[in-house]
Amino acid sequence: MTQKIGFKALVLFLTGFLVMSGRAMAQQTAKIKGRLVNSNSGDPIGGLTVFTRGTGLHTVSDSLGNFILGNVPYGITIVSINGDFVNATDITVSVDSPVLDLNTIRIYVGNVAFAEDATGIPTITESADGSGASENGEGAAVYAQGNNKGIKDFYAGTLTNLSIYDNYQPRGMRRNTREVEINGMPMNDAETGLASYAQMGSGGLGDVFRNHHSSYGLAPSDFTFGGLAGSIYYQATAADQRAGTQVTYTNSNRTYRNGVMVTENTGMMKNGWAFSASFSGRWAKEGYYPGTFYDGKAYYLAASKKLGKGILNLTTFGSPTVRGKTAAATMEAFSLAGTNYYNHNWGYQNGQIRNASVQDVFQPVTVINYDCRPSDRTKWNTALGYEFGKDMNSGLFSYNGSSNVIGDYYRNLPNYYYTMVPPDSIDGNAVKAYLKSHPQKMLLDWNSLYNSNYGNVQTINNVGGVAGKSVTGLQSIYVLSNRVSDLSKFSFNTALDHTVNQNIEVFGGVSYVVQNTEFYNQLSDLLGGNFFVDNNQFAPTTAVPNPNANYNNARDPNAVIKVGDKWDYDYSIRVNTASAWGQTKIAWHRFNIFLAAQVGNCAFYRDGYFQYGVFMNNSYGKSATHNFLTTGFKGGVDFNIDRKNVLFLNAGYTTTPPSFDNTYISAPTRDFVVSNPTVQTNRSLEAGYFYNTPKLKFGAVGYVNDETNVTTIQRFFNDDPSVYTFVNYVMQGIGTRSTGLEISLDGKIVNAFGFTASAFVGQSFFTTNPTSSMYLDNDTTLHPVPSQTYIKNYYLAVGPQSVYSAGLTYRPRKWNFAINGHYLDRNYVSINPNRRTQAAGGFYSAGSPQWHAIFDQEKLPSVFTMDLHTGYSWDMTRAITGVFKKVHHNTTMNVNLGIYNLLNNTNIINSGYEQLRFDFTNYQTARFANKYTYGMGTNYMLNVSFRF
Amino acid sequence: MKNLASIFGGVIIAAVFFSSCLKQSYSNPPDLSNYDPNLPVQVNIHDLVKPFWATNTHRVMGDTTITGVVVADDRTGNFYKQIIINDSSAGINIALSSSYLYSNYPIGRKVYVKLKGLTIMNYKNEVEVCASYDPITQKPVAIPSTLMDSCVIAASFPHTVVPREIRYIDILSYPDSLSFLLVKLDNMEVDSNYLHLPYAAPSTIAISTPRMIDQCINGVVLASGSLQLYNSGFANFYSDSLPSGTGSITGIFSRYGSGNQFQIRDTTDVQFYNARCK
Repeated sequence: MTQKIGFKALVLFLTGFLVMSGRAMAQQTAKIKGRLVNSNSGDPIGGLTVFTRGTGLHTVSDSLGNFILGNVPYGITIVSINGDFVNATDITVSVDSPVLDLNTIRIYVGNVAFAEDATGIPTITESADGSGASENGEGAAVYAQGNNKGIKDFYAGTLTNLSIYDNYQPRGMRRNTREVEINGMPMNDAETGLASYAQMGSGGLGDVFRNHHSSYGLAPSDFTFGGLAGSIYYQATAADQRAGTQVTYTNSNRTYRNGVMVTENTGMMKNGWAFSASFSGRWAKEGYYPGTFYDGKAYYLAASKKLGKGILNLTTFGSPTVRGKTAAATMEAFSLAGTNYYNHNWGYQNGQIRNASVQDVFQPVTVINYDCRPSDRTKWNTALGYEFGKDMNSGLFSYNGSSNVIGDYYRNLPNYYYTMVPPDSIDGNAVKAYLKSHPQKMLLDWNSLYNSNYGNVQTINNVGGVAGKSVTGLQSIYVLSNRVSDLSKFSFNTALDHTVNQNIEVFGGVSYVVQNTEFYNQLSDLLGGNFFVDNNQFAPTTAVPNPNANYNNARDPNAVIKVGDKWDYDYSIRVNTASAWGQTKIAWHRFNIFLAAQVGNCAFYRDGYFQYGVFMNNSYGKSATHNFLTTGFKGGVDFNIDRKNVLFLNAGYTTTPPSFDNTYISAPTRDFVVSNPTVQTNRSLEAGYFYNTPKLKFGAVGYVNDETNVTTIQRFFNDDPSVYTFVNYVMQGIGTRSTGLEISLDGKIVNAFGFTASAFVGQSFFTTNPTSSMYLDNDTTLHPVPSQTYIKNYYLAVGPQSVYSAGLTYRPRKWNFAINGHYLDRNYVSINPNRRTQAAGGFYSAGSPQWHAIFDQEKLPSVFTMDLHTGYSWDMTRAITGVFKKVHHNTTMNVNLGIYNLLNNTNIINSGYEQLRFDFTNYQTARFANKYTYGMGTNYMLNVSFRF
Repeated sequence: MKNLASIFGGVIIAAVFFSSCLKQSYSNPPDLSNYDPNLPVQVNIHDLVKPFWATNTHRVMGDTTITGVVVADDRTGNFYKQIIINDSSAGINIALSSSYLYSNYPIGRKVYVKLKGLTIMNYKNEVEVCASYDPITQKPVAIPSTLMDSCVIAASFPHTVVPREIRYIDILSYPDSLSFLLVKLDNMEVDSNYLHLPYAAPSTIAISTPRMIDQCINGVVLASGSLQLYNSGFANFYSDSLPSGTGSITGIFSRYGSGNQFQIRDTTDVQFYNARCK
């Protein structure tokens, strides 16, 4: 008894006055419960989404097929059941008692192959260039899960197909503003905020990460306060996995060519245990883009045990992946190379393709969570998580810092001569003719790099600062080295969901994350030399002469570096975040109301392991700790006009801490921070209307998100002889606004024919003219003179800001076809703020053509693409029973094929950016022209899977 | 239980699968640093440059190849966008529009220069190989980086580079034949007006800084024996102090207009360890 009171007290503490106010309201909602089973076998089906149309209420069936849906308003309601490999099922019910038991609901399994495509991770989440693999496609995929206002189906067919846009950000919202949890463990990096899709195997573990629920925008979530872009919760314990075996083969021409995935689940056994294992491998010797390769493996091992009133779960997974990357290039480079898929990262070594830019990542995750049901009205999940491992990205480094061995280094191309003042067209033409006839000169010449090293015999004196210690040998001029981020992250998270009565459901939770990430450069290949030397090649020309200026680490001067040694920089960032949140959902007459609040603290500091010679006193050891207190409030109301028509309005105000990277001016070299680091403020508003009938669904949502007080730091290398070092470009006081309208239509034409149409039109732009300061890595000036940028009303580069789609679907029994067309426009290049300053205007008068060339923002060409999806599902049980005497389960085969960019348009520029260097001598934008990436031409993904 | 057995089986299979190494490995390319393509050479450097002496002229070259050994490169930054090659007859400057030339053409590397289509010009008494003559600025245009290794062919390495020991009087007598030769002068010291100064002012102040050096014979500084030592503000030794003793100096002699100039490759070229004249 006392326990119960204590429990209630906790609930009251978390939700406070919300509960008090809720009690006064009328009690007109009910619980709907039921059990989902396979219509053929009678086996329970877990992981299906159950929701009521137009209310935003949803849940997921557990491993026994059971579900409970609370807060359902009295009256006629459509209960919808949907998921992968099942036919979407709608049941119209009349709710007139506190608990409505639908008992056993038989679900037809294995027809809607399209569901796999729309929500299935494997097919849609590769980014075009493979570099942002995870983040990009993921943006679209998660968006496709829709918000929980019932409109999610509308989004499904549309945005999943924007995977050619690796920079696409729905509503202009940054990817790190969506919270991701797996079994209750917060996956977002405490520093960057990003939850990498690669952590979940980039789709290689699609079988076990199927069950998820998400909220979009400000909509309430059941497990967290949620970020600006919403939240997604993957329910992936052994107990959540449906018993059986699944084998999938994938064939594609995208980042990988072949893939195999095998998953075996016991389901919840009679002894109270459940086990699950999934493995996959995906590989390509060469992907769609020249010089890229892919070697991705993934594993998942999980066990669950019923314990007391809950289930204790241990889940561990990881995906060691090695892949070759691509790079953006200028139009000139694409044209000289004769292909839009030119990639400067690779070349031949002894006739073998070798890529210098390779990502090698393995950051396994382990979660222990106890999912407890103290009563039928209470869910309480507590998770302890640990993630560790390295993300290594290799690159070519030269002792002297030169990049002139890169094929499209700007001084190697004709444009370098054409943009001289006066232009040198003789040499420009000679270079152009030569490159046209020697295309291999646009690639890396590995043999030449090795031979440069073979010929460089040097003696290094005073190695490690030890007088008289010298080393003689081949000193590598060129090496391959990995920029490593080595993560270690502990997290604790607990979340409670309690149904107070038919009207009120309260939520709350506490989480704490401790993260340490060490960043360093680690030599990986001496390319034929004997050693490398860790000296700062940039210091002598800019630093005030200082006996240590030449050393990246004055504690180990003239360090002789071998494979595996750290050099260049080495520091850790340590981040602690703590937060608590509470939320209540209230059903009152025709209204569904929610209110949520969050309070948190973020603290971080830098710990330097190298003593950087230029900043002897500010690079080694621990920096001061920076603390940021954050708060968040949001709330919303749905008004159910009737069971077909719903109006809603949500509003939110949150503050978020600045990231470490946008606080420390140049973390690799020193512990200086921007002046007055401060939290950024977000204000959001969204409102919409939904019309829902089984035959026609329509939705229209308007939104506005304002962000203020944002600081950004952009880091780039400037090889101008007068600079010749890394430049840290700090902008403070940035404000942005994203506002727009999303309209969706989804209907049935006749029988198995249907159609979809949607329009997403927005504007994401800067709302302030922030100040900027440039800090050079070798310049000891403490406070460079800030300059005023004029970037107000320039667009943010968030992908196409106008997206129109239309499609037809045809779903006869066992088959599934969908064809979609997309028109994408208003995709803007990312601007260089330094080009929007008084200095950049040079001697050109405002409004002149030259002035426009500098100040105007480029809009990339609009694009029309078409995609085709087809699926076939076959219940093989009867067919194979004749062959094999004993068949355990039903056996189904599913074939899915998605063909993207049917028209094979190889001229789709999916992203572009202005180089951060600008020609301040002659003010010619062509000197450092914009760089672009192109999306893939026709590409496909074929999945064949057997489930038994 | 069958499922459980399958899981264990799967783990074993997966372990085998994971350990199978798809990782690509690369064998080192052949070491060509001592390879000599043995291209046919039509003329030695002396015969090539002699027609250009003392005439401000330039000529686009035909199908001619020369050879020589690199005697000065840009490793320390004192030379920039140029290499100097010598054969037994003479030396010549090659203007290349690229940095870090030493990674391809370090001191001691034999090179062949295919002159076809390139220009040889006398620019203010510096005879050099360049891409073309710019009629507007009347200056040489350096060979574009992209075209570099198709006209300056790297050959065997390393060759021992020995400076030609000359007397101060020689540079007054044969300035043209000594131009761009690696030479060694003995009995030199930094002029007393420049003692204890750094080799050069920082690049932010001056690209190149002249420092006078004097000849000192038998304890007497010769009034007519001085030479301008030019040091680059980009050189990595620019802030080092000039040595105060007397001794030998090795470097590249060249003419610029009516004056003479001398450039070292590194501070080890300056061996001023004996007592000063005064």
